[in-house]
Amino acid sequence: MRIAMSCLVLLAALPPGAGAQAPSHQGRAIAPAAAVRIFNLAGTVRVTGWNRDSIDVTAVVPEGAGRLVFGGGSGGVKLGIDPPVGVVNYPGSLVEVKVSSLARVWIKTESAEILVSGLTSSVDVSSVSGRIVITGEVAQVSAESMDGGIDVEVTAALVRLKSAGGAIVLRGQATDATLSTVSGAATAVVRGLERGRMETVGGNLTFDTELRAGGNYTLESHSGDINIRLPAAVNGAVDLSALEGRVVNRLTKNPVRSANRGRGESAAFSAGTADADLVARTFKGTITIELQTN
Amino acid sequence: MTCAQLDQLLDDYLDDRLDAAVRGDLESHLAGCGNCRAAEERLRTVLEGARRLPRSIDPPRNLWPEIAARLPAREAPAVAGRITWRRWLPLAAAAVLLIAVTAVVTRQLSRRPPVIAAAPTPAPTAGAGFASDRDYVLAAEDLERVLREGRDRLAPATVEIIERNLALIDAAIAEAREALRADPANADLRALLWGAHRQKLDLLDRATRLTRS
Amino acid sequence: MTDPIQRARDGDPDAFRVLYEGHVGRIYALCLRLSGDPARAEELVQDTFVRAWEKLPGFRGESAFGTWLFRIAVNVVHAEGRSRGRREARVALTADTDALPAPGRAPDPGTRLDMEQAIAGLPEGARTVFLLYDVEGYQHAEIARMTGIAEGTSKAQLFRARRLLREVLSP
Repeated sequence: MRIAMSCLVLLAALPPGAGAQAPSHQGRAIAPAAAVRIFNLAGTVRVTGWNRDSIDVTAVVPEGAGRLVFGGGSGGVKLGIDPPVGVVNYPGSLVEVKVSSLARVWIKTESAEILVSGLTSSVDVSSVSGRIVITGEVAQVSAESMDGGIDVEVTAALVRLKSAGGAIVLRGQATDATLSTVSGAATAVVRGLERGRMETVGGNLTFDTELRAGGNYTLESHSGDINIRLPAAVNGAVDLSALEGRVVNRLTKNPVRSANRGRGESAAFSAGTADADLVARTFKGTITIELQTN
Repeated sequence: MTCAQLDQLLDDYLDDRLDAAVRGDLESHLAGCGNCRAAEERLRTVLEGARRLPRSIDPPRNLWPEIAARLPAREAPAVAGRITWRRWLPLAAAAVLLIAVTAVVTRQLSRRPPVIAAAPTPAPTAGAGFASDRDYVLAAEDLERVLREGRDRLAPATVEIIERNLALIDAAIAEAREALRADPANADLRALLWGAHRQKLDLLDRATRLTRS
Repeated sequence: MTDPIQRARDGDPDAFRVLYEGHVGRIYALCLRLSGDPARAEELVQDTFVRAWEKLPGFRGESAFGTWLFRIAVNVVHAEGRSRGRREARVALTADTDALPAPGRAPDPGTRLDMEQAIAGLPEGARTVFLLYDVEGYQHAEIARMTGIAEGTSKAQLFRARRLLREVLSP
């Protein structure tokens, strides 16, 4: 957001007339399911799906920030900001793209934030430290960051979100979701999930879902806490294990037992008829299972 | 030479396969026939277009992790070869488990044996061909070497992020390993240790990819 | 540093990765053009390298490694095509990011993408021979060995491919 704001401030500060960085504009007709690759190291990339078989790019590239490149044909387009050569600190650019909602879109940035909405086919984005926000009904979502936050609110079949230090939030509907962090927190509030995997080393995990027939859910942390929120009627088998941590069961009357030679705790129970499996394990975090509030 | 005869010889003409006499005939026909000159021109355009096509196109993503994951072990004549291969096993497993986003891998993922139910529990598998804690360490060392060589190309802030998170993972690995030493049969512990190893390999893989981009 | 082919043949995946990195661009380009589908091309590239790894012990260097790899790729693509019984719509080539026209240049009809699309529209046999001969620069004898067709068939397919392309690409 800070970067977006600075872009806006920069825009506003530019004097009219000579020297002003007029937005560059490019566009062309494309096949509806074209592949679109976008790169912009610093600044902002905003991609919006629209109901036209074309791509429309507006870029605001400040002085010294490089130049907009745009190439390709109807089947595939690659565009982005070629940074200045040999310069380490250069201002960020804003790349605003409107593209056929069926297009398959790849975005790569370093510090630039990535904002995607209205795409329906596949979105594959990666950033080093930029924030990533994806919304819409999209078949496949893959987002990867080192330190940036990832915020995804979608209806999707397949979701893969990965960050080292950044926080990850997934909301909406997904059939298959994997969230992975090292130190960042990860939150999944998801319905319709048949396969879910969340893993972290030191971040806290929050998993809010319902167990579906045949579903398989695995949550793992080393030192982070794991919070599980389920509907009152558990439909499947739940197995919680904290090797040198605690287990708190606020969902059912099943007891929490001492485990791992008294160093940890565990709880296991099953109910209903569905053959769903939920496994949560932590080395020294606390696993809490409780009732969903929404 | 008729237009039809010329049409049959045009390819050989442009491929320079005609003997001098036939070529002479053909060229004198061409000199006086606009239609055949147009045909020759079109064929030249096709051939030049073909020659101008890039012979190498980079795939849109790195396909190696999935390939590495599928390489079956081979009886190697050289001992060193076998050792190096074993280094890749855990990385390959990690790649399958963590990196890939293709449907193929998704199917593989969903076929992964379920981990840990009630006791007695089978040891969780870390992926096809999994070897040992030591193999993960060796695989990580390989990537750490690559990262060291390329770290100058990363921004200092990025290096800091990577190192901070690697340190966290290393501490987790050390703790889990220590606990596993005291309780070697504990399947949950092993699953957590393997998980930390995979996280480390994945982070290293992403970091080394950044050094190349 | 020993030869990566030798080391890969001895079972060293690090060495095989070196070979992968040296050849993946050309194999991907071939698979992309033969299959006409970027996603399938990725799978075909993977299959090609896995097959190559399996077959490496039998590689004796009679041909260049690149040619040997091409032969495997052609076989993988054709085997996959047969098993699929495909005739799906060929999507336009995409993703070939490095070969895009320079920015700011006016669109240039009759070049790259048109050419790619025209090749994608060729019948399979003609397409294969055209790619190997006119794009990749192999001779008919090599193409015959790679694809298992007779040399005369290779020539006939090339003739056919060029003729079709002339038609398609005429203004």
